[in-house]
Amino acid sequence: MSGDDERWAAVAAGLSQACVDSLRARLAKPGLMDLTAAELASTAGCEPAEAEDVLERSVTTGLLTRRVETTCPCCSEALSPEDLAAQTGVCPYCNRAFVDCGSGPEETVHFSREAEAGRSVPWVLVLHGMNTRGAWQGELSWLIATTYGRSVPVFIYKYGRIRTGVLLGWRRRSLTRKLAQRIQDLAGQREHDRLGPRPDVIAHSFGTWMLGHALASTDSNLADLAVGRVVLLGSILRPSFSWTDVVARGRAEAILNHYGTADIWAGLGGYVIYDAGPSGRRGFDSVDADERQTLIDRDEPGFGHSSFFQPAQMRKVYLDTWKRFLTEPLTSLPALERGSRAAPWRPPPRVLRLAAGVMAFALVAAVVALVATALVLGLIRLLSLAIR
Amino acid sequence: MPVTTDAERAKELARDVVLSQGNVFIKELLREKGRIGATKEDFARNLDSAIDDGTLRLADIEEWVQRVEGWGLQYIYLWQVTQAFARQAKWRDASSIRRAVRVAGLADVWGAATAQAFPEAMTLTRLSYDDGRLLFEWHEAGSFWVREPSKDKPPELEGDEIYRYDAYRQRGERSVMRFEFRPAQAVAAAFIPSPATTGAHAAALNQMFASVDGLVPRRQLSAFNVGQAISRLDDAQLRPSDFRTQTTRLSGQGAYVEFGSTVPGHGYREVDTIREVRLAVEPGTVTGDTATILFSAPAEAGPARQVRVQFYGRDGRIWVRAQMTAEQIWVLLDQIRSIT
Repeated sequence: MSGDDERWAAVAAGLSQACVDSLRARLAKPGLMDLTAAELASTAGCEPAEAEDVLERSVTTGLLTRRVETTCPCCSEALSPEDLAAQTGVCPYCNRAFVDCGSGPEETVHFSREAEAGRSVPWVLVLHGMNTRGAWQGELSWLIATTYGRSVPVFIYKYGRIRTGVLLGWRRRSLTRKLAQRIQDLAGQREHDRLGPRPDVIAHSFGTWMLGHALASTDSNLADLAVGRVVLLGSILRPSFSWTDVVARGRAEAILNHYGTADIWAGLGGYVIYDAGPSGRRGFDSVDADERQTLIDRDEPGFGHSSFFQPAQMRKVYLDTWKRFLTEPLTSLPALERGSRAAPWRPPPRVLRLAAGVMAFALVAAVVALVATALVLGLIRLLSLAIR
Repeated sequence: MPVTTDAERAKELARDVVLSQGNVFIKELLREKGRIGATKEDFARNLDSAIDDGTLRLADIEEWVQRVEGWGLQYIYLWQVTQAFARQAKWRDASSIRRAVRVAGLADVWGAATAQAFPEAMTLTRLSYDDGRLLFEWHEAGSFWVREPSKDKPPELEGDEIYRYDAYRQRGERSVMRFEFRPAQAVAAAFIPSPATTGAHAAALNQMFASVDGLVPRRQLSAFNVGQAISRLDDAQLRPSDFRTQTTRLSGQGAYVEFGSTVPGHGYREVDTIREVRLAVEPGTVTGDTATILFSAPAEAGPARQVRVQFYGRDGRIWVRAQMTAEQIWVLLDQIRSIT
């Protein structure tokens, strides 16, 4: 049982469970919480006396603070301690004597929890990986559209099905530049939005590589490039990738690296793609304590490269982890960290990476050659049949 | 007996004007001039001794009164001034302004000392042009009735009827009304202390325009859209900012929606569920009816405190519900203007 569970068990002992559950659900949400016993009783379906007992016990266990709100019986305006200290017996707001409307100022007991407010999601960019057209993007977009109670714009970024292209540096750079320019264009369209122009980004696999390198870029044409919070899935960025610099330059607010411990592709990425690595299998290298707030690693035991998108999983991980990461205040984010940070990552020997890269390229080239040969032979066969 | 020395005039100003201001502001004045004190009696004693030993001079007090008296606890009307008028060359030349003041028949109050008088009717006492600000000031010895239940009489029989007499005590105060025009920003503002629902408020506005018109014609002013300001300020505070909306009422197409915090000193944006609902209201489809904004008066411009500012969209008025300094008021107005 966690410390939190123990504290709630202490609150609940001998009291209305419905009241306790309702209060706990309210306190699970970030931000200000303030209510009276009557309000709790009304929503939880318990008696006001029971609600009061639960709230008073929450005060003694340190979950809530008790405050007495004093209001004018004539105009209901809240009276400050200074207003009351004047002892004039007159409301400074409506200039009526308290005795004109009753025996004196009215007192109501409130129970409060002051906490940092949560965050509203501005708009979301969803970025798929290589060798896929990202069928999961549609499902995720639906989840985002239906869980906020308001319309959160989602842009599904497609760059086509890339296979061999990721092996070529110029192709990766070209794709990265196009992504960065698209984000800047879209942000420009939302410049005057109430929540600002920066999108939150959910990226998978090669999408994480492109996003990371776009944000780390020092290209002056991308000077305005910046995003909000970033969720990385099946990341193939190097574990040593400096998110710290990206955050320090104001290009991203916080990063959640949600990784599967059985992600084979993230593990192999570093061998075949230059400047890639297995952060989607083992997390990023350890960071200083004060940076833990903005770079969160969270493991998902047994998850493979695309397990997050399986129908049985996506809703759960979205609600339990990604949505929390996108909406909770920065100070609460370290609570999402899970799994131990491994020792600093070292890239595989250059020779090994070169060999793997050449082999991968040769393999792909062989496949392409085979397909091309089959096509040519097939055409010749078709032509010969036609001539006969 | 007429005031003969600066020290006596300073003491009179301290007694009549300074001591009626908010304690936090008096403390600010005394902080750099010796002992502070806790009560009005302490302040009076310490002000006198600071004047006697020369650490507090008449000029210090006059400057302080200009900065503090009559700022806040008032209604504000804001106008945009036509660029053509605001850019006229005369606003860059003191002698041209003086000439215009003479032509407008206001030479007798031009550059007058800070008024100590409590005239029975609202009277224009001072007109000045300093630091690019044309400032009109009116003073009045106002009086109002404060409910005093300790003097109530118990119900008594008079003839066949029982009567009850509730007591009100008359309280005097010096009211200050101002009109300020800032050519560089092409903005003007009126600061009216009398309650908006009284006839005195409308009369004060009319009197103000009658005096101001000779220098700043009314046709050059276009009223600031407070309704639009409410919705834009409310939109802006959805992201962390220097101010928060405690309550706001937005309307459009014959219906309205109201958002508010039930916790004093807190904005509704601090409650995630309510903030998300607010975000569902499309900008531009509603206009602001009323709002109470919690504004953090900056410490570099006076005592730092959270001030409630109420906006009335239909009436085009802003009500500042606490005393502030002149600089703090203008920080607030500049912030409102920059966002809207």
